[in-house]
Amino acid sequence: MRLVIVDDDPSVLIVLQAYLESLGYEVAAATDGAEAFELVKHGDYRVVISDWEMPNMNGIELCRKIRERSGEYVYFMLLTSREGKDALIDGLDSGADDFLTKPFEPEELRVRLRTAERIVSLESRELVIFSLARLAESRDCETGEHLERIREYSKALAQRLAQHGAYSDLIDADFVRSIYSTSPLHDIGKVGIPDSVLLKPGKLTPAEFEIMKEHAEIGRQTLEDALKAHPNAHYLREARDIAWCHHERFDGTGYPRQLSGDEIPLSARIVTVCDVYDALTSKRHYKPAFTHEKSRQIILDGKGTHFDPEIVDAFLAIEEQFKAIRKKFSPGAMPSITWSLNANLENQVTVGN
Amino acid sequence: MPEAFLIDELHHRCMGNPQLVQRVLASFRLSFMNDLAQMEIHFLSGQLEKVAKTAHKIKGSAANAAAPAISELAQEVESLARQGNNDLDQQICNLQSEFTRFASAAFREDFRQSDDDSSTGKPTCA
Repeated sequence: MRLVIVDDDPSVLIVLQAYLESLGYEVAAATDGAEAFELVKHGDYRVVISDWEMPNMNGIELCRKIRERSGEYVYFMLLTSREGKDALIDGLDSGADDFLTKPFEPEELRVRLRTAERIVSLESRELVIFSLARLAESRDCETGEHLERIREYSKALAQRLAQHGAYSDLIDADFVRSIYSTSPLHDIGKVGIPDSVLLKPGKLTPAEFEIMKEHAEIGRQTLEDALKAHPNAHYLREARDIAWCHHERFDGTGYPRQLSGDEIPLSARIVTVCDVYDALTSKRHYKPAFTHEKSRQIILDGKGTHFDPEIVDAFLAIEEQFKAIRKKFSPGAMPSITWSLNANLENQVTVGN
Repeated sequence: MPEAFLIDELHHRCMGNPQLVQRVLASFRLSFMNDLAQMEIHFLSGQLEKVAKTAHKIKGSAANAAAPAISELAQEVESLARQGNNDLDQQICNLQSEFTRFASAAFREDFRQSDDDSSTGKPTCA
């Protein structure tokens, strides 16, 4: 597990880092809260051990800033010279999970870190999200591991966009973590589509297709309700945007709202490319699984009409990663189940038009 | 009066590693000198809040370096400064003296060799 330790006193950092490394932790040290926040923001750290009083940004401010983020939960421990009940209450009230006084006692710190690890590993949000998505997906017998591929494709594209191109300032590590967690919920609205439409083996009639299109709005409503109950859960906002907007098209001819360009949330524009690529490279009852090359060409043909050109460029830059993900999460020897899959693709989202 | 230096405690925290003990002590010596100088500047310019913050920092780093007497004195300075008590000359001077006592125990040979060096924290006040 990776930890951040932060203290403006180098002698504390020396002994703390040495001890934690002896326990097998990977440790990054910072000398003030601002530096520590940058580490947390851009790296995969799940535990922070922080002094309270520090220049630039103190431990309490650091804790609050970390709590404002979306992304995975970070266990926050205050290690301070402050003592007494008031300090303890103030510290925990600010969002810290644990409170230790200096000097740390090695065995006590080891045991408390074990608790931190347990809590972090028990964090179930991601599991719950994925289970919900799996439940929604299970009804239309989507090809195996579609959700795994979607989140891996989305993460890979977001990582590429964070480093190159016009969206590099908009995408940070939190965005990447968030799209990885929430992209599997893109079709959660399908839970509200009747079996007669969702499971229909043949081509949908125009009226049936109109019903199928409602899954975007149903997804929005479902996640919007959850968001109202938990307004600080930023990941729900992103999940809502993806579910609502992943069938919009860059040129404004998609559904449900005919949004265009950057009216469509960036996360949804990314998932759109991933979802279509996955549908193209998967076997359906109405088509075989297309090769990567053919799918690539269809995505390229949709650049600027169906898809955001920046995201298509990112896709082309990392197409080998897409192939690798496809291979890693392919059903393998298991035959694809070919019920009426992605009727939207069959009926309307004929990519490349 | 608390002990100047609890060598066993520091060794324990440093997992019995003498090199690590030396690194911690060297780092503490440097930070203490710097913090004490800062504290004096803040005190002379009447910035008691900054005096308190610096004393708080010394309290923590001294505790980490197993120097309970310095830590306790620093806490006293912090407390007085937070109360707005401007009569801190003696306490700050005591911090210097206490560091000398700590250094003579912690640095031993090292300390004796550099006894003439003002960086060892030799007291300069009455």
